Amino acid sequence: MKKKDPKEKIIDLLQGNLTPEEAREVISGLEKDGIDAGELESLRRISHLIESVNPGEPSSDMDRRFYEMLANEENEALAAEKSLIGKRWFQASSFNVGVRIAAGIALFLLGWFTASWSGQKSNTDREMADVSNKLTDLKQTLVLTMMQQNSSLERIKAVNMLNEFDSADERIIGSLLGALNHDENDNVRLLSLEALIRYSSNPAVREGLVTSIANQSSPMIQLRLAEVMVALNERKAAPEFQKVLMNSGLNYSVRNKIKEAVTVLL
Amino acid sequence: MIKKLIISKFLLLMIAIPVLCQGEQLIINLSPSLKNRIFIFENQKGSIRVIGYDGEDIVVNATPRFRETEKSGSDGMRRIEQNPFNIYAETDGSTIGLYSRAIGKTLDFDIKIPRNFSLKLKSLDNGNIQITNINGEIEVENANGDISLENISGSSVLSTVYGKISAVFREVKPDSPMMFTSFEGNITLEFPPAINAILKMKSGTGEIHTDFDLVPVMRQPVVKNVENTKIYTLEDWVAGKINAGGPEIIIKSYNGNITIRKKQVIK
Amino acid sequence: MSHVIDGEIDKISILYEKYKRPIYSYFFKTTCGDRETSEDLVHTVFYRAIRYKHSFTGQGSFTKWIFSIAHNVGLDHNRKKRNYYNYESEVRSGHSIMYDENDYEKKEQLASLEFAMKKLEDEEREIIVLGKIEGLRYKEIADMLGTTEGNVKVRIFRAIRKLKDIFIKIENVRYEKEGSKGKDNRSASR
Repeated sequence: MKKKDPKEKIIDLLQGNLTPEEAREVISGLEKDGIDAGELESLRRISHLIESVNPGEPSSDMDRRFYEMLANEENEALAAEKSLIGKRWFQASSFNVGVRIAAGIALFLLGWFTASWSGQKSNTDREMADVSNKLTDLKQTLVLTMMQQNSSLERIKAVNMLNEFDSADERIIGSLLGALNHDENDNVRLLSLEALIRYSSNPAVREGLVTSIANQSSPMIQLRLAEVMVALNERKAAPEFQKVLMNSGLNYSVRNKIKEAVTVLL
Repeated sequence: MIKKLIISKFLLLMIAIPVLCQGEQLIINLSPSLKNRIFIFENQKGSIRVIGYDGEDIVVNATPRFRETEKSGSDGMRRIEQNPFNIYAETDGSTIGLYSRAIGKTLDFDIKIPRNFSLKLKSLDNGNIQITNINGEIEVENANGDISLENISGSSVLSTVYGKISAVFREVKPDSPMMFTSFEGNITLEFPPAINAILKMKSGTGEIHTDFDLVPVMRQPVVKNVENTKIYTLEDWVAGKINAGGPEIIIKSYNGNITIRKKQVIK
Repeated sequence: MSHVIDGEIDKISILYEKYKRPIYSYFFKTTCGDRETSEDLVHTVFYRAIRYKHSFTGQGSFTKWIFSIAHNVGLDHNRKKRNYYNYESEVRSGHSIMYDENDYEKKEQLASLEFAMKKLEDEEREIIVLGKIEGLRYKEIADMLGTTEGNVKVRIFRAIRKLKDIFIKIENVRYEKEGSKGKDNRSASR
């Protein structure tokens, strides 16, 4: 059998995965290759230090981009499959998903209460905040999942649930922007717009709203966007609205409103 | 897997003097044991009328709205339609989709369907959508046409651009939000007097009337106070609680009146 | 994971939440702290994961699958990026990443290490980072890179050794500057 290169074993050695006997064997093998104990020790320390290297912290933008992309992909897939009823429609029964996650939340709560009951000192402020964070997180996950459902009623329920959150994190905002730009149902789009208006102090939301102007064909939504942009005094919306005005099929009330908006914003 | 459940399909030829009128009928045989059934149909051009009944099958009748005027040649030759429209259905079990291949033709659809069904209907042009006697979730989008719901038990999400909306609910599914929007058109809704919901209504240029006793709900300013940002109150909806309150019923019309009535119980 | 194969896109969001940080860290470390690029690359990884979910055959762990995609995305990125050779001196120009370490000495060492990492070749840096990923086995790394487990370990060893040598040089310069006495060349840390 071919003798293995002792260097192969070094990593295991550095990680401390070998028995003392194996370790001794490897070390003596390495010494023959010119690697002594001192160097091994340095290597071990470096290897350990590497584990403390800064892993980095993504910005809140990353989540928002992902969820927007996800919403877009989902709606594209739905549109492409318009003439085919995929297995997915049958499986993605909105009722089932909602119930499963709701059951998850219920079980989680049960676990928390049980822990408190058994007399453990778990009621420190930090733990409470932690639990409440976890609950918010679960709820957010529920809302995000509901936003992917086929039934527009479920998506509307999801957007309504968002009113229970004080602030939306980037995932929610991404999902709402995705709906505003790509949802097949105008009512869902309209409601998403109303929900986003609540967060319009967030610059990412404002940017998203401006970008969405070009994607709307429903007069209700176009009109509402014009109202909102004027109220927010968002100048960046003006060129977007000008593009929309070039569309000859525009409803006359909407046209007037948008013209007004452009005048005010410029 | 997509199974075609087309059991029978026959061409109705009604020869009427002096024009040749062609309609098409499709009967979809359903297994009665299926729950949570959804019927989906999008009509490119034309109206859709759906009536719930106590039978087991879906019966679809499609009629062209504009008859082909035909001139009979003196030698007895009649023009044969080269592009007949074609309607077919596909299903994966509990979702049944109806499709029609009729490029450019305006077709009016009359559909009889078992009462317990959820519907997802859309018309893009030239047609009203009418639904009667249904128990389920109803989702309708219309662009150029009215939407009218009669004797419905369940919930609905309706939107149209140029058209009226009228909906009469015999029963409302609890905990189910609803939404009704029209750009140009009145919205008239009737709900059972005991309904528990929160109405959120906004009309751009029209008026809002109701005979329900609404308990006003505090309007929230939309944008919270942030440094260097003014507080905007964009939430100018009329919000009112009916009875114990509950899910939101959102109604918005730009150029139209909104009327919400208590459904009178006929003794 | 078969849910992904079935095409239920909503499951991807759960996978995203689980892997977004490890994948971000992978890019953050291999790009030596480039936040913007790291985010872009994460986005690309999950975009490909959604589009090519069918490539997950159910064989092997999901960790390996998603990191294979990440590895390929990294390769594509490196190919596009023009290589500017930095004629930097061995002296650190300053901290590029802030650490929240109370221990001053450890903070300084980490900064030196990070600087030393920049000096490695892309492949060397990558294999060190891959080796430290939790839940990713050497055998899986070997499959990803198209080689044997033994080869992976040897490569990691060589990369760490090179890193150590560079690190010591940097630390020696630092000590000289700080006027510390009696530092043994051989020991990498106290």
